[in-house]
Amino acid sequence: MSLITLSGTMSASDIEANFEDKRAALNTVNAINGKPFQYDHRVNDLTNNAAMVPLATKDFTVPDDMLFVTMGMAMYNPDATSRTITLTLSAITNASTAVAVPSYLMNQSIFVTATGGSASTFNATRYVPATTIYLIKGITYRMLFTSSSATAVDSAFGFVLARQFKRYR
Amino acid sequence: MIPRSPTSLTNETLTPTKLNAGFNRLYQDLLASTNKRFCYSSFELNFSALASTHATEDFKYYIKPPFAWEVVAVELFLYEPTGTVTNVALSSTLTGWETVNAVPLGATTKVVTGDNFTAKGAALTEQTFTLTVTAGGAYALDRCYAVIHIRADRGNSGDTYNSLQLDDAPRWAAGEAVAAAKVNTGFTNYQTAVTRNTAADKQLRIQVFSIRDIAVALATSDRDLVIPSTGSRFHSYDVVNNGAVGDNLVFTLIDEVAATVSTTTVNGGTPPQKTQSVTCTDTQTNSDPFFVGNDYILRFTRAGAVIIPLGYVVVYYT
Repeated sequence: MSLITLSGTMSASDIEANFEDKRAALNTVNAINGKPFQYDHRVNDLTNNAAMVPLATKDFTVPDDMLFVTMGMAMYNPDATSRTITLTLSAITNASTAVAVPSYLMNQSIFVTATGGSASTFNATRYVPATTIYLIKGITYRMLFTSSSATAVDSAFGFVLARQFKRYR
Repeated sequence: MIPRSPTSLTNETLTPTKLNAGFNRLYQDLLASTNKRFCYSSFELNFSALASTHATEDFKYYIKPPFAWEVVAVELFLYEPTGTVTNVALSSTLTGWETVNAVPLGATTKVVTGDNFTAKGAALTEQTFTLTVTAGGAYALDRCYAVIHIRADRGNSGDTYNSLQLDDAPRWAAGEAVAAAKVNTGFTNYQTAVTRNTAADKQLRIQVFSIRDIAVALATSDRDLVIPSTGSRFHSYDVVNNGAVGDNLVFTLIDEVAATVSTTTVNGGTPPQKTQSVTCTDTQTNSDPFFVGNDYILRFTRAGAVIIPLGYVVVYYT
């Protein structure tokens, strides 16, 4: 930022330049051209559900409209037995009734699957959205682990990452 | 939130009205930006699988952020417990905290309670969150966790933050001569405020990663947790170990090239054993959260011969 010091008969263009310089500075603050986001990060840890009964759900309500960024999962396989678990994100009417409302996720099917078959391995995977998806203010979202394997999972960890503009509120 | 276009003056007569309008736009844009300088985020406190046999400390979390913060909303989730639990209450030492209660609803598998209030904590001041279970006898919680929604003031880095208000914008009365000195003062004051506002760009977030019942034979990677790469700046962290003497807990933060960023060992002992405010000024090189190869890893390992009932790390960002 730099200001043009005015004196005597002021130039209109100098004043305009000062106005524009400060407007540009605010643009930077508001991160129109910088790193414009603040992140929120939800986790779901399957550690306490190693026996897989019941599979873990994690619900949360979004306080603001936020841009869904990605969902990820990581699973640890303690031995060579194949294990496959899936983490799904859904929107529900409220945390007690859990009626799914796909339209709140742009009718996208959001899930990631991790498969492990080697001893002492850590498998991570990531969902990449095909379209812009917003998490909607006041709506409750659910992270759900499901298994397609007979063998209990040792540990698994999932997260949802969302963001909003830094100067959102 | 895009600032408005500046007032055009070229080829026009410079009048008090024009200048007043120009400065008012600047100050309104500044206020719109500074009033939204808060960083909002949330963290979770996991109370799942707690039973009446657990020690008092296993129902507590200790949070000591390097910045001032406010709780703005709380969600408490309680799945149907075993035993005659009549109430579960979450309290805190935060100033202004209001106890959040969850009452089991019989056949309903889960109850969710929430509350919106403002509770404040100062920088580097330890705050305690405590879950209190009221029951007629022995009990066991199924899943129970709280989502704490917080905000932190990015402008809290100094008490001189944004001293300008809309009323401070220079104004000229009709017919008043427009002196260069007054115009310069207006721009200079505005520049000072914008500079302060520019400095208030930090990500003031808290994250809590907890593990309960950490097994004795804990293989490396067995409790690895993931932080996706968002170009985040770490500031510090706390590690808490509720294990007994000899049941040491080792926390390691690992970056995207598998290098150790920071590691801390917290010995077991009379719980909780806390190592707080461990400096960790690291910035994630990448900001691509879609690529797992950019992930940071939070790794827990341990020593000793007894299950650690609760271990957690509280990560602070700036």
